[in-house]
Amino acid sequence: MISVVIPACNEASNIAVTIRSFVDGRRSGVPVEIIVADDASTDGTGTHLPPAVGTVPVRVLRSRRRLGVARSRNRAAAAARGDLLFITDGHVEVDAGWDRVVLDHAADDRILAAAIVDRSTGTNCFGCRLVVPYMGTYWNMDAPKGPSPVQIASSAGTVLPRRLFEDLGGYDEGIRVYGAAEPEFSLRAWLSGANISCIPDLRINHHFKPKSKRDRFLSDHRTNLIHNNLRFGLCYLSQSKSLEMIRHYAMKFPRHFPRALALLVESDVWQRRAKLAASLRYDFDWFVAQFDLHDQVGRPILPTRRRFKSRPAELQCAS
Amino acid sequence: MPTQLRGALRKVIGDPRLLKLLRNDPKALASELKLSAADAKALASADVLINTIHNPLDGTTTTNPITITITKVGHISNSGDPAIKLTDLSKERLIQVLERTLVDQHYAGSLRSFLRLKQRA
Repeated sequence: MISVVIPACNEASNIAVTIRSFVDGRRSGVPVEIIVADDASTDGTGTHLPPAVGTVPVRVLRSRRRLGVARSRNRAAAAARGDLLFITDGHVEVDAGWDRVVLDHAADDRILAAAIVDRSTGTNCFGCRLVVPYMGTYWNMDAPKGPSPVQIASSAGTVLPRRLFEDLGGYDEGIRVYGAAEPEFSLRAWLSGANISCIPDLRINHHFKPKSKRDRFLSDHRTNLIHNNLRFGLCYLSQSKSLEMIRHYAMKFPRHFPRALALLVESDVWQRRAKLAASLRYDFDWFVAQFDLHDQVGRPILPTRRRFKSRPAELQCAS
Repeated sequence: MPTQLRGALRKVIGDPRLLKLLRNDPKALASELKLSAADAKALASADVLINTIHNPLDGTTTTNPITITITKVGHISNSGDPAIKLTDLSKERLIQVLERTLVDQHYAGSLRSFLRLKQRA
């Protein structure tokens, strides 16, 4: 069974279309279930959904208080019965035949990153790249010829075995409301020994927010966004890079930074960093070396002596 | 690393003067917090990140990573990365940049500064 996991906050005008596209787009005969984690919506997102669309069960998990995207996804994944999780958003439409593509490429240690299509501009995105030390992402817009390793799977199209999701520990629940959950999860997957492959044939049509709405959204969530990126960075970066990141945010967002930093300092970030350092197979330098990562203004991140000589087989295939 | 950094951040949060030093005087902050020379250099190098935010090549703010939207692509690689040198630009964009440089002294100055910063980075 494939479980389609959809965190949704105030998606009443989109969610039915999203669900319908997953139901109508099936071609394999493999059972599918839809799980909507309604994250304290005030527009009735989860209240009017039917218990099933055709033969596909639809379960709605409602939260009275805002959990945020990371916790909502984890909650829905914990309720899933499928062997595979298809993690997506509440404002997308998937191309027909999506289940066949998933079954063709799924593997025990692999995360599939769907191609994200913006119909309004005709732009296609093929996973994301990490921006260091900002700890945000840029979209990859160059189409790979076939399945290719990618640093980060986007929130709208992340597919993986439920077992792998559980082994990785799901999304970081210390992340507040929105931002940084996907890159952190993807980085952790790589450092745990899993791999992420962009599948260009697995296409998600994503309804992007118009600029005015996007700007308002970012403004409303600025403190959380800063907190989340700082948390992400402090979990993985060296002390020097962490300090560079911290000062960057202090200068760029002087109004929001003190509150974000205060939240961070009081959080479990230090324990999490220690836990990750003790449990992950590779450190951040390994990831930097594998993807030949430079910082956001083009400077090398690793000193020459720390460059790794070999690249894993799955990356060599993509070169 | 966490213990020293944790202590340093606690001090910064509890003292508005240190918070101001963090923004404006990284050398003095590093001295107050007894950070190593490498850490002091790292703090100072955030200036490069900030000074390259307003990218005259793209005409955009470049260090807001694109997480929920797609912005226009005005350079040749067709990737989501910002253009950071003249050779990253498409022919059309290069002509626009050149024309503006010829008629707009302020823009020309900011372009020179940006490219110089990039060279130093």
